[in-house]
Amino acid sequence: MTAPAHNAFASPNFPTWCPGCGNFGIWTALKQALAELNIEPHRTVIVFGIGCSGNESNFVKAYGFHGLHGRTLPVAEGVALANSGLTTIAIGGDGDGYGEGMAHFIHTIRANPNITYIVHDNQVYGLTKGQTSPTSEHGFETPSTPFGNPDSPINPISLAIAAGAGFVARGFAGDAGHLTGLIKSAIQHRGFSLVDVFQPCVTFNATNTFRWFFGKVVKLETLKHDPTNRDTAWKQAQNEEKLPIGIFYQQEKPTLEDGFSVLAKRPLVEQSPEKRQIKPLLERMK
Amino acid sequence: MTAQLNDITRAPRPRSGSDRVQGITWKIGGEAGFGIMSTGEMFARACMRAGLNVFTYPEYPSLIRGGHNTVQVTASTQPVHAHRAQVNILVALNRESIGLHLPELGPRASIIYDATDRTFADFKPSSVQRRDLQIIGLPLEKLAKDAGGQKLMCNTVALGASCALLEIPPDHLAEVVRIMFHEKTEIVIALNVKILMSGYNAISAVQKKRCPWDVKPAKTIVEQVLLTGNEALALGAIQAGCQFYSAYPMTPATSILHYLAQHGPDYGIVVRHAEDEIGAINQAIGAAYAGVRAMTATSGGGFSLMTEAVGMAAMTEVGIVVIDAQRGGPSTGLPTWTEQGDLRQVLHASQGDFPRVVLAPSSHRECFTMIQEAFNLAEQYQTPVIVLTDKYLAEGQRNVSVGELKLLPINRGKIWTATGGKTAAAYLRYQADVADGIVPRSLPGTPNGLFLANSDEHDDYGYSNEDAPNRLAQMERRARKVATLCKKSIPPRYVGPAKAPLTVVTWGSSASAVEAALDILDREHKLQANAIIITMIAPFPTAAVTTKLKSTKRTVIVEASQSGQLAGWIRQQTGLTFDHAINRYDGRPFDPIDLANELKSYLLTS
Repeated sequence: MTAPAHNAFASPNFPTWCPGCGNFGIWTALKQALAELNIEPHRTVIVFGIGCSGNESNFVKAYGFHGLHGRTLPVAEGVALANSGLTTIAIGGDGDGYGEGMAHFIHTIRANPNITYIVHDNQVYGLTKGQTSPTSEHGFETPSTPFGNPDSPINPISLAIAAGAGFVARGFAGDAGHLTGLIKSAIQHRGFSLVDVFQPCVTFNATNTFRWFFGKVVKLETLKHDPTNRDTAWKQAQNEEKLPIGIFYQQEKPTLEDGFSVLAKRPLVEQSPEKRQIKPLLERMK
Repeated sequence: MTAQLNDITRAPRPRSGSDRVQGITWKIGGEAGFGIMSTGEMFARACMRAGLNVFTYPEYPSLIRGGHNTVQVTASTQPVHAHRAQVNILVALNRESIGLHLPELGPRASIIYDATDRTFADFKPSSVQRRDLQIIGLPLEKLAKDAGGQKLMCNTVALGASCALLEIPPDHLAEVVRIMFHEKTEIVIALNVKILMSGYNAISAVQKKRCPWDVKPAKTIVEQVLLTGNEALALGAIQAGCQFYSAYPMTPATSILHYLAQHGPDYGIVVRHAEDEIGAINQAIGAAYAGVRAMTATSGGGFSLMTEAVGMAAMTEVGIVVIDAQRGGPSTGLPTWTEQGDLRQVLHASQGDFPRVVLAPSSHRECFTMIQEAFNLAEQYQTPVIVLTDKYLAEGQRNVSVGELKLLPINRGKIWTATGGKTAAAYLRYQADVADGIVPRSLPGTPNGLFLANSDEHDDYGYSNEDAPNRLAQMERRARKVATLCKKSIPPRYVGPAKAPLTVVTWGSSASAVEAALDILDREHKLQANAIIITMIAPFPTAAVTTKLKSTKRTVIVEASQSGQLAGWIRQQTGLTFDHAINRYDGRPFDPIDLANELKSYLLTS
């Protein structure tokens, strides 16, 4: 079998991101991962949120859905339940997914639909020009926090592990090869998979730069981390000296789709809505 | 079983045959958590099975226990469009019920109370300042226990006694028990029938005679079902091929979720209790985008949360059905009471201009057909369809003959199918130059049908595009869908004689009381009036309504909102105003008798 060319997912639009933006690495890794997995564009649905990450919807050719700020996950869940035969991917940012959409994040982890969630995590709001984000460091000075961010950052990895996610990974946009592997594993995982990606914003974040990340990230593989061990996954997630990347935790568990007998045989979209007999229901209303 | 008669000495003489009425209103009151609702439903079913028309109206506070609950059933040989406020038989499971509902009792009403309940310990029927009432004290608890039941089954005893007063044949009661307890064992069913009959037999021939209400059952009984507006919607959604339903509980929409969660899986429906209303509507949109028929339902507050996604559905052109079962607003408002105050909210929900359909069924029967219409319109026009009901319609039960439940064919609209091969014509999901504005939708998974469903303004493929000419082309194409839709707009429902000195305009559940009031005006006051019931709110059937309104003499609008939301909308759409407005916003539905009196006094004084 020959893999579809990487550019099968290329749209006619070249990205409008700032030159050097971390998003380029994620964009490349995503297309490469899909191509290497032999997934065709028409068998792929990618749901995007709003933000610089959401603008990627214009730069990828697949069945796309560019929805509302923070609402990628419920749309993706609806897609996955309606057509479990497709590969469903949700893409958001740290403001989009961990700010506006935080409730959906936790609840989608609980539900465990078979979708992959890639978060472009640059610790800042890009598209609205540089305000503080839910993953920004305490004291971070931005136009919305000129005297320093009074909030502490959330840790999406710990949060996902605590919420019971079956696949929790972190990548780095500066290592697209490594990230490609993570996205492939995430797509192949049965159930909800999180890939939080450190993605330096070259315009609005002068703290968490490529140079800063290169000095901090460390691959979990080199730490001999066992991704089936939730306790050590938790410990690695707390590591602030070094920032581990790779698969923190992976454990397959029943998916949301498994919970619906209706989906046992074939995808919902392949079942005809016609010719239903409501007579038995009427009998019970007499 | 001997009836324990407490006091019938003050009961009135029975009426002579000529002044017997055709319908009665029965009411049961008691503490929440004591099976008031199910007793009301069983009484209504028994009446329906005996060949009567029924309308059931429950009232309850937003509490689980401790509050006062009531169910009121109006039963008649004539069509019952709405319940009547005036009560003819009151079942008081506690003393509070007598105090609260005494003012509602009509002349010569009967009261059945629980003589063994502690709240009635020092109750003396003679203390009731009404000489025309028949007050029947029955030892409900004792009867229940003697028949092998427990205190909680007092309501069942009272139900049996009520049916005896009306001389409803006991066979119907046994059948009702079977239907209501279909999941229970034969032993449980037999026990309930026995307890019912203990109440039935506790009523003496004298007591029956002194209950002057004659509701002679029909000789030929048409096949009927008793259902709430919510059940009619859920049943209609099943018939319409709904495949995905996601919702978050909110009164008075919740029972749609319960019904579909229970029965949906048998019909291939995925029913999802979402994390919140925002999740619910976004899931429904995702499912509809992927190609299945999807719906969500909520009340006004939940709809507020869904607002942003309503616009997204219109922009991405994903057809979904959203039910808003209204309750009293603003904010948390009156959670368990009725109002029609969300009309403007749904008409204007979400930023920007976009096509939307707003339907408002005005009866249980219409709930069943209009929800099927809603699914067809959503997929044909690829835009959100909002169905407005309210608590009175959503939770009130009415009988509908099975033959009146109209089945509509499923129309899934234009769907793109790949023509095969790599050389297939380039598919453009949002091709701007389409005459009727509707481009075939491609379902994800279809080869050669890729597109981007984009909440940003977009080009023919779906890619973001902010150029002015593209913006105009796409805005105008979406607007053309409205023009296409207007050609198929649903005309109002007309009731009454073609020409009349008075025309009432109304919508939704208020139509129930209006129809009943027109009957009363005609029958009891010999006054002619007709009604225009608006069922499609948007796009508004402007031509039909304008023509009709221009041919009227005097017009009155009846609606359950303080500001007259429909009156304003009609004025905006037709330029016409009303001579008089009757608005109610205390959370209570219109009462047909009060409404008839108001219409009459307007007609005679203006």
